[in-house]
Amino acid sequence: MFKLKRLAVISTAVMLTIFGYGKAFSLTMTGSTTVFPLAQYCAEVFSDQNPKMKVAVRGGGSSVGIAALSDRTTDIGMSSRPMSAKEIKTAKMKGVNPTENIVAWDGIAVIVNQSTEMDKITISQLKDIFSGKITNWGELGLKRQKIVVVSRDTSSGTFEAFNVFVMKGEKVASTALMQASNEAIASIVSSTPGAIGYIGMGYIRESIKVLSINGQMPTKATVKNKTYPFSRPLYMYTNGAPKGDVASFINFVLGSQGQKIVEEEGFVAVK
Amino acid sequence: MKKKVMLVILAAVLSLAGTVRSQAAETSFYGYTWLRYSAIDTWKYNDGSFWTSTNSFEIPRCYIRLKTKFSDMISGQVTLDINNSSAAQSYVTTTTAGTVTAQTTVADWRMYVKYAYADFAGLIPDAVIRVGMQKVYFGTIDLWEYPVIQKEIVDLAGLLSSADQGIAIDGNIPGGWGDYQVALYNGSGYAKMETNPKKAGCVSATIVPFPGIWLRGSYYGDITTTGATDTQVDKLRSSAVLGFNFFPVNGHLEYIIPFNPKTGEQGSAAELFLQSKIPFDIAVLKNMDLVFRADYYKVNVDKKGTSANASDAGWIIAGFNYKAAEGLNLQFNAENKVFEKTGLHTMTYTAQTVLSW
Repeated sequence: MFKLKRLAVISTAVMLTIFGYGKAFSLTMTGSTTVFPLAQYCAEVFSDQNPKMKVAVRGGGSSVGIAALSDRTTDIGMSSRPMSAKEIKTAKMKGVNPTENIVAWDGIAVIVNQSTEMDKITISQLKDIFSGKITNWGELGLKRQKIVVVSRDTSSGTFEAFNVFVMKGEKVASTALMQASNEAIASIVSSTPGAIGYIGMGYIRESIKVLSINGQMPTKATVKNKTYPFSRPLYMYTNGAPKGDVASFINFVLGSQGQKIVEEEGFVAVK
Repeated sequence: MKKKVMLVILAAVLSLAGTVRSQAAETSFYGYTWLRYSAIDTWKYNDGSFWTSTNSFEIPRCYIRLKTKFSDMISGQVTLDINNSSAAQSYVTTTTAGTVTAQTTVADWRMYVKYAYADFAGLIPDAVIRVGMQKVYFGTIDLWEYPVIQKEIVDLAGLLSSADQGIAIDGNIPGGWGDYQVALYNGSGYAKMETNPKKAGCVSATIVPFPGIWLRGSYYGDITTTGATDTQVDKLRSSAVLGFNFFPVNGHLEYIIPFNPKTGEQGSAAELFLQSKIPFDIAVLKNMDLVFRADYYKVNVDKKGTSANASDAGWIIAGFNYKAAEGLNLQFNAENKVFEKTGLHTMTYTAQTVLSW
């Protein structure tokens, strides 16, 4: 009898180990650095309320998050742009059914260093600056100062969105400083005279100046009613309709507590 | 002389990589190397005295790849393949009084351009026009990423080359329902330049009706251009593929029909491929895949009455892959091949490292 009990305990321990009791995290999220702070804050509050769940949040950019979802190395792929037809096809061929869950709205803010005497800019001027056709603020009638262009790298959904809204296929100047995160762009623009960049509006801070586009500033109202031209949804992609732990988290983000966090992080609530 | 030429080309590419990287915003330079050990036993069922056993270390592939994105509309890629496989051996001849008295094979290196093309986007919605040396979009030949240590069946059976020079449209069906390719090639593959009037056309379409299932149909045929004296096509290939991916198992079933209108001969080839992850969260097993492949082909259609001949073969490959670290994969395969008519039987054990950098 004792031997049988010992065997049962050992077998149970082995089975629990084999089938994942020792899993490091019960939920992982990967992708957009725009969505990252929102996801991280939600994960912290959610984990406090659900101590048995361990949630991991990783960045890397929207493309990285979407690829991770397709490869089943993440439960939620965070993205600040919609999936392309090629990405959807690739995911489906790998047996993944990518399902979009819009968790917030965001505006892409164009920012300049406080030393730049500019409050507004047109989309055409932005394109000329970022493509390298205009290299000095003096060419726009301001005090002569070299323009330092700061942009996101190509794995970024923010970069993709800026490309759609502004560049329309034209290449960013080779002299641009390519950065891996919104935070990095905000830091460089705030500390570099003559610098211009773009960030998710959740990263706006007092040390940088935000420009109006076509007479509109990126505010919650203008993003929600889409009068601000650079408005976009933020996504948490899942494999099929959310189930289990994933559903618990998504429901939390879309619930009153999660949407309050969305507003606190500088984004616009969907509900 | 050949080695000097190869070194000059390699130096030029590496210099170009450095120059391009300093000028273009988005240039990537990477590649991978295969290091392989093979042990092969060969015997005949009907000849007990026929037995050979060989084994060797080799580098069957070393890809050096340079990708550059000039703009959102234009990008390009060059891939060089350097290897010292048995196909790269050269000959040393000994002559006496102008007569060849001995010829021995020696290990050598060879280098060739595997891919060299430019992509032009934005002219056709959600598609690129690709010009240059590129993949042949047929069956699974352009999708095969060597989950087993063996070429894809169309490539292995010599039915088509895996790359060729030409122009193609590579597009996606909206909504993620699939993709399509339409291509015009030289027709002789990447190993030689073809100058005759015949070219080759290829069309492929993949449909993904629902997650986990995909279907692909491909058709390849010689095209005779105006002015050519030989008006008959002599190479037609068609393929149907059923792919599936239901975690942890994925794979495909492919059926190929080669046809030669000149001889009237029609062959056949089929393949079943299965790959399975091991769904246990244990350190070694979770990074391991099990692989299995079963092929047969009966494809010599270039002479009358030869659709069933000495080249007909069937084989089974089984093994596993292990991801030892980021950028380092280990593969172990056992391959059992039988040539139907001659009774020739080979058993091959192979271990390979795939080093990505």
